Amino acid sequence: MYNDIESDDLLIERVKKGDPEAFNPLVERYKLPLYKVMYRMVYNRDDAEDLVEEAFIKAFRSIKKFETGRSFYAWICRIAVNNAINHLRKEKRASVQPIELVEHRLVAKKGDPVEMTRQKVLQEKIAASMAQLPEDYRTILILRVEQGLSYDEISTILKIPRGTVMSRLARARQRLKELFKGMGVQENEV
Amino acid sequence: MKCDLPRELLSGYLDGELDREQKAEVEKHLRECERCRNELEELKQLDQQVRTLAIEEPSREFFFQLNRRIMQKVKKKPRSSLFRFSPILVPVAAAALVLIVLLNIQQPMRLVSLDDRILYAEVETKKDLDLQIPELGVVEETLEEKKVMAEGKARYSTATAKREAVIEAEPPAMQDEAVGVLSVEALQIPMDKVVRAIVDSTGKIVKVATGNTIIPEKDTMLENRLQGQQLSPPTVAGRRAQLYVDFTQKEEKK
Repeated sequence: MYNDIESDDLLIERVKKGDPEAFNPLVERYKLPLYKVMYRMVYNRDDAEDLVEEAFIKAFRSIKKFETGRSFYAWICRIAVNNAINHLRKEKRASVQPIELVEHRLVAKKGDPVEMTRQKVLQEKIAASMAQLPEDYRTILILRVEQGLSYDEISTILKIPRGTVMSRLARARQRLKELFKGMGVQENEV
Repeated sequence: MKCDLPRELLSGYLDGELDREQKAEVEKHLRECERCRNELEELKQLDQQVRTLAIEEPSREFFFQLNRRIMQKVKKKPRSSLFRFSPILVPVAAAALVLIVLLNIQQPMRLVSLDDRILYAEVETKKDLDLQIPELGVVEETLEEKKVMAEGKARYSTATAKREAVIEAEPPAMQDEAVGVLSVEALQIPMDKVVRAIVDSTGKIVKVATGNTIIPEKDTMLENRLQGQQLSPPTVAGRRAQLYVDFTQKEEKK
């Protein structure tokens, strides 16, 4: 068994030395953040789960290429994002409309039914706007806004210069703002 | 006032990713530009809306079985690296394929050329070219080369006298190369048929047909039986050559 507080680097070193079980805490640590990124990209639970699993397997098999001292999450995120981009291109599902997916299975706030309905409609609009974003805008917004990754980490993941991260994010935000307006999403409406 | 602040600086400021100089520039601008202050506020709201976007919960299997599934897959023995695709092996594989193809191009691809026929016609008219099987004790009958192409004979027979000197029978010193070759007897050539063949320069039978017409009949069964059989290599003027030959058996022994 491995302690949850053991550092990524320590665990990775153990995996490199032939102890596959040391990979388990890494899976536990990053499976949900990765799932969120994948879900936002493909808007399908099963596909997102498969992509996460595939990313971990690929990461495990090429763990010797990972340089300790760097961010494991950024590294595996890059693997997963590349997988997802390939998946979207192959499946031609980049333009999938997620409105019907935002159903009762979503994590909804419990409480006032009227408020729940309002929230549901708002969520549908936001999700639809996000789905209409070009793939590269959507990906970079997910990595920055939802995952909170730094520009350097995003630069590593997407293999683009830091300056491009900054300009692409600015354009993505402008485009999303326009889409929100088109959907009737109020600025202060959450 | 005129607003000339690049949008990416505002976006970078929101993310806390500007260097000190850029940050100071944006803050100075924000103090003076209400429009950009509003814009920054809008971007904050936008980010908040993205963050609150609902997400479909992963399955229970994902929550509780992912580790086990990953471990099952990664502990499987990977395929041998010898058979794993490797881009570096592509040119090697291509070269190997080309080599295999080249090595497998059969001798019939090098069928007798017109020049070969000329030589043969010259031989035929003046002198038998004995293609002796080295195991003379075993083979009592000799394999005799005769005319093959009637029109070849007609066309070139007049020139034979001049060239006969260059044509010589195969020298008997081929014993060492005759190891493993078949005797004519072993070929079991039918007595009642005129059997013609192309024997390549190594002595291997590459094509077989029957009949003495200009275009001999194909005899698939006979060809299948004889094709590839190894005889002693024929030579012309001391040099190995591919030839048309008739397989006939003399009624009288030499």
